[in-house]
Amino acid sequence: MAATFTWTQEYGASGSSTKSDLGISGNLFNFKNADDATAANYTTYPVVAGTNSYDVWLLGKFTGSFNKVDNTQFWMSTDFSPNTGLTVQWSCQDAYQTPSTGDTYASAAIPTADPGSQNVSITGDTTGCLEASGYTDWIVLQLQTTTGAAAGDTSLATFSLQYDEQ
Amino acid sequence: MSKLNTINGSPPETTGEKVDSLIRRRESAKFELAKTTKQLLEAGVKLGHQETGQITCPASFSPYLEQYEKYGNLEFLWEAKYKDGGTLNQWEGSVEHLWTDIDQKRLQELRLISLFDYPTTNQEKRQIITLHWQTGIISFLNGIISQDIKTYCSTPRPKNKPIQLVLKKRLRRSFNTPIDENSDLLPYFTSVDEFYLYNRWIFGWQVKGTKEKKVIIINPNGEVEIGE
Repeated sequence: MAATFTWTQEYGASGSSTKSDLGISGNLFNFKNADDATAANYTTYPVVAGTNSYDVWLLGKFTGSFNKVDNTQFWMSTDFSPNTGLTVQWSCQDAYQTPSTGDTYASAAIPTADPGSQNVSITGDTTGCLEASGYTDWIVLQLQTTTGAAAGDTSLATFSLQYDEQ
Repeated sequence: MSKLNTINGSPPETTGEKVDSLIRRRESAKFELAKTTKQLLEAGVKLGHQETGQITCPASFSPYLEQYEKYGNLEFLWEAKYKDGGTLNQWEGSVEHLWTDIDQKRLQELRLISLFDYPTTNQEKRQIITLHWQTGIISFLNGIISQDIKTYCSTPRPKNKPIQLVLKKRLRRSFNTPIDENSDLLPYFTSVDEFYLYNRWIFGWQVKGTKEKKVIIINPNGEVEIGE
């Protein structure tokens, strides 16, 4: 039995938050003006141009039997196109915080290509690994916009996670 | 996908030029979709569709799709051959062995065997990459392997230095931000709900306690590169 991977999103106030398994594909998450784990309501909670979305706190979840999972790398494979006024910021955090529209946690430019080395930490360590079922640390994403952003649906963005399994 | 509200949006132009521009962009996007899909599939990437569960693959891989899905969405499986003639396969029935189940003291050779056949007149049509444990040499059956790779892989292991097996799967999973079911664009999307599966194998040996090693990377289409 190999490792089974799924995305998980944590949302809600720190201390009473909820972890929700999203799956590996399909309707995972969107950037919107709400903190929940439902992808399908971004038209109800649009991001006003010039403001930020709520940040999204994702984790990689690994279950099943494996010796080791490590070298976890995350990047944005496809940026919005056009991306005028749209910037996805990110960071990796080793402690959960209540999502907000502030830019405290998603504070760095997200890699747009395979970073080449582990950039998603595990238990706070960027050389960390899982040797039993567990989670990576939190991948925090946020859409930050300017008033120059066009109205309506953005194009699709694509995100990738790569890991080594032994 | 996300939706933005703005007060600065300009009304769309309704001229013939606008129509021309839209047709140009649409036709270009259709061509790009076809071209990039072909190139991704040739590289061994599998396109999955969440709603239907279907995997898109080249016609040449279709006969092996059932096995691919049965064996954990992998294009290659390992098989250990022991000096005493015994074998250990990665999968035995519905059980998958971990590579740490391989008894390296008894190991004669470790083979990575493709699920797919290679177009060849050889009787054995699968692509097989074999690590000969006693010599450390890696050999290839079928597939197009460059001379550089063959030279790299034909150097024997250092004598009197214990080695350990290097065998990892490098798995990449990519997904889109989805479109809202209430979006007015939804009726015009035909393949929005896709994800991408891209597997590679890190295969070789390393001298215990050192950085001395011989490692190759095997791509899901059978192409081989020298490892990091």
